Amino acid sequence: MKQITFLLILIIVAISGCRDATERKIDDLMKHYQENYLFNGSVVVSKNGEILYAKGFGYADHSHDVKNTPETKFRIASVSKQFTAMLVMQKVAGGKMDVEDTIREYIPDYPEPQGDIITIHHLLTHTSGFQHYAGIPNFSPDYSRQPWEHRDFVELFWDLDLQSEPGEEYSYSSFGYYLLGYILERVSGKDFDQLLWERILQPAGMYNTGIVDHITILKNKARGYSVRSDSLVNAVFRDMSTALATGDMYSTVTDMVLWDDALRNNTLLDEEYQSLIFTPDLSNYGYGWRINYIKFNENDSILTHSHGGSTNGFQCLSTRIPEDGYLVTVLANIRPMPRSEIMGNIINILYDQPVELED
Amino acid sequence: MKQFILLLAALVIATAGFSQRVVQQIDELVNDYHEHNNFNGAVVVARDGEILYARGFGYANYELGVENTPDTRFRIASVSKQFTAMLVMQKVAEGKMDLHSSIGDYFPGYPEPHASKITIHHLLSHTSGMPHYAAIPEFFPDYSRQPWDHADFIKLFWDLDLQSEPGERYSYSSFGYYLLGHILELVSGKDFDKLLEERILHPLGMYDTGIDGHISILKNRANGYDHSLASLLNAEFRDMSTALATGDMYTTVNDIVLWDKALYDNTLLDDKHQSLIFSPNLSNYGYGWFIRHNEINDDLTLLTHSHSGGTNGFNCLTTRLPEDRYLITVLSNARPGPTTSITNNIINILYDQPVDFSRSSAIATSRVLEEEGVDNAVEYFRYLFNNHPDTYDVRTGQLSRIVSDLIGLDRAEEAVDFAKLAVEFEPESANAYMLAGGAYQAAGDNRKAVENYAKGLLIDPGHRGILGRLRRLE
Repeated sequence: MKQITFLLILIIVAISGCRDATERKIDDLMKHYQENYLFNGSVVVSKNGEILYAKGFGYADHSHDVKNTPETKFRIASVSKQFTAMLVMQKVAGGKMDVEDTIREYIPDYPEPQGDIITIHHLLTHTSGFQHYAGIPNFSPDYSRQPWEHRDFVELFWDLDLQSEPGEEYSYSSFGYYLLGYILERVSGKDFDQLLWERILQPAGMYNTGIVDHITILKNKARGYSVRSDSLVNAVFRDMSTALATGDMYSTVTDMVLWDDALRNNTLLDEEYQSLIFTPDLSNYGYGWRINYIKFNENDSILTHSHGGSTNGFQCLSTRIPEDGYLVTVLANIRPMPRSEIMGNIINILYDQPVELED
Repeated sequence: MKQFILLLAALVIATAGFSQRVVQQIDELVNDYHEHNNFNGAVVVARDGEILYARGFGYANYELGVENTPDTRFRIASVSKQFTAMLVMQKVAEGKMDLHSSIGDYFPGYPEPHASKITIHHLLSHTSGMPHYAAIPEFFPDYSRQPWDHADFIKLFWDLDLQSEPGERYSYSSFGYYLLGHILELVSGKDFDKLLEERILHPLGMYDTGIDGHISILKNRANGYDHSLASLLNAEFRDMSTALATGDMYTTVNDIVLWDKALYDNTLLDDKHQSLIFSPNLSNYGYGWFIRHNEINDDLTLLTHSHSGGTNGFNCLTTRLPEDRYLITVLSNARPGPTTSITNNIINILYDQPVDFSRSSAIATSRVLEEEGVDNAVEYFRYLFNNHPDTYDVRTGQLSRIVSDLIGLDRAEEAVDFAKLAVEFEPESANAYMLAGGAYQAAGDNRKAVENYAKGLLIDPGHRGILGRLRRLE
């Protein structure tokens, strides 16, 4: 018995030693980025829902020298799309929506021909042919700073020319996900934030996640910063009514682990429908997620689910490695930051690959 | 010699003892405002450039728990006008500008007849007849969030009808001071912020004062908050390019003392020109300052130079008492902050007059309203009115604050319940009937609205507020 205990202790020491080494490597890596003004934000690495590493770097507010922590709330921009896609698929599972339905099934007065040829599936996969923000000249600042009723905002883009026939090409459009948010409101008769709370945040216990606006007082909210001609400035103002389901959420790195948990355990949606979310369509895009393989070398590669986000003053990237239960989420209140490089290197550390720093 | 030193020491202790007591009284007073009347910000009391009292209250950033201090930077809105007026008078003293020259002399292309009729003096004294923000209904919702080139912004208002002939009437217009700011840029060939820095801030060592924008990272900058009933919200966004010289500055209570001192010492401007700044024109307005004789009581009247400022999330009041060289500045980052009442009571303390503080019944009642609903809240106000009129301010103005917050929140039915209280408590007050009429109107009951307006007019047939509302109702 004593021997077994001894053995057990040895194993624990060995494992934790390993973990310490990994932790130290991630720490050194992130400090490198922070010291070179490339990173200001928080990072989490978890495995099967257990947090292996969580830490804040730099400042939540540079005016008052308040530091970032794992509890700091960041705008997550387009990472919101994962949540929107989940809400849509919950409605599909409940028989309230169908991915093959066209927009007009839900918005009867939506203009032709777009309303009749674009389906929910096209919107979810960015294959509707919708334009991105550039489709509206002067979107920022003429439109982006104003408060919009969701319906009025939809009318801003709803009859823009399509860039391609629906279903033919992948072209990323935030308007598509805005429209999905508006459709969800119509189908459910609830505000998007209410629906998000009832169907995802509360069941998943994500109490530090929600819809951000510039009026409500939100504890631990990070301020957004941009790098402009080599110096740090406050981000330009944007009214979040222009983002809705395409990018209006905030979260913390620790809450993102709960989201990963819910996905791993099919807490929010049964496997049949959730698998559609992670099924790649054109350009490896599923429903609100990119499905890619990371190649370590000729023979070694691993499947990832990931999505990034970028808005005034904030950038982020969240990557799941479903085979091994890893989640790596990097939330920053600085833009730009080398998020793909940071993500790649954290994954390199997890898989004992060499770290590659760009000059 | 020893005796002399002893005497000197006694004197110092006496002075220190006096100010210690005053300081403590002021501190207790402001703390009461902080606890009961929503004051969040910083206060300074100085005499002849020496700080007697300076302290921050509440939070510079509620979301991150950062406290206000005397070094916290607040937006000072229209208190910026005193700096603009100084810059203009410096140019006048140098012969680069003339008070009686008209806009057209400095601003080619400015539309007639305004360009030739309105002078620099008119702009400085708010007698140009130019309207205020209300003349452009789109201003706050549509224009105020956008970035503007100064010249483009001026085109928004430059040909608006004048409300009166230049020189005939006082009517406060922020556009007038915006225009002065741009004229200064045209005359000097420099950006307003540069000019301000070179001619005022750097000579005085005011390194914690400047032009606020939303882009530069500013150390110790307070976030602005607005009160709505019992809750605090982040202030609505405004792009400061829409404020320029009429209200785009920030400062600290410590820095504002340096400004006050410079005005006593004529550091920035010779006395002849500076005296014009403090010479009242129409409605006691000088150039960027109100000049008033405040009657404290039958035996005591005090000359004051003062100006208030208010913008999204901030309001403030700075008051000089030049006869005794006092300065009282109250900067708040939660609007509406009780800056006037704090200032008046600090003056009372400095001049040994009784303090007149009462808790806000509107704030106390709002807390009950949010937690227990309208019926209990109305009962609570009635309870304060009947039982604690000495501790709480229970005048109609308090009800009016609750009513207007509720109307703003689309809760007009509840607003009616509170407006009825005003009529119940003050049946002889036309203002109470106006409040009730407004609440009914917001609730869509025009018949009851007119009925209440009519009752108000029976008491005061010439009540301008009621007449105006009736006209708009038609």
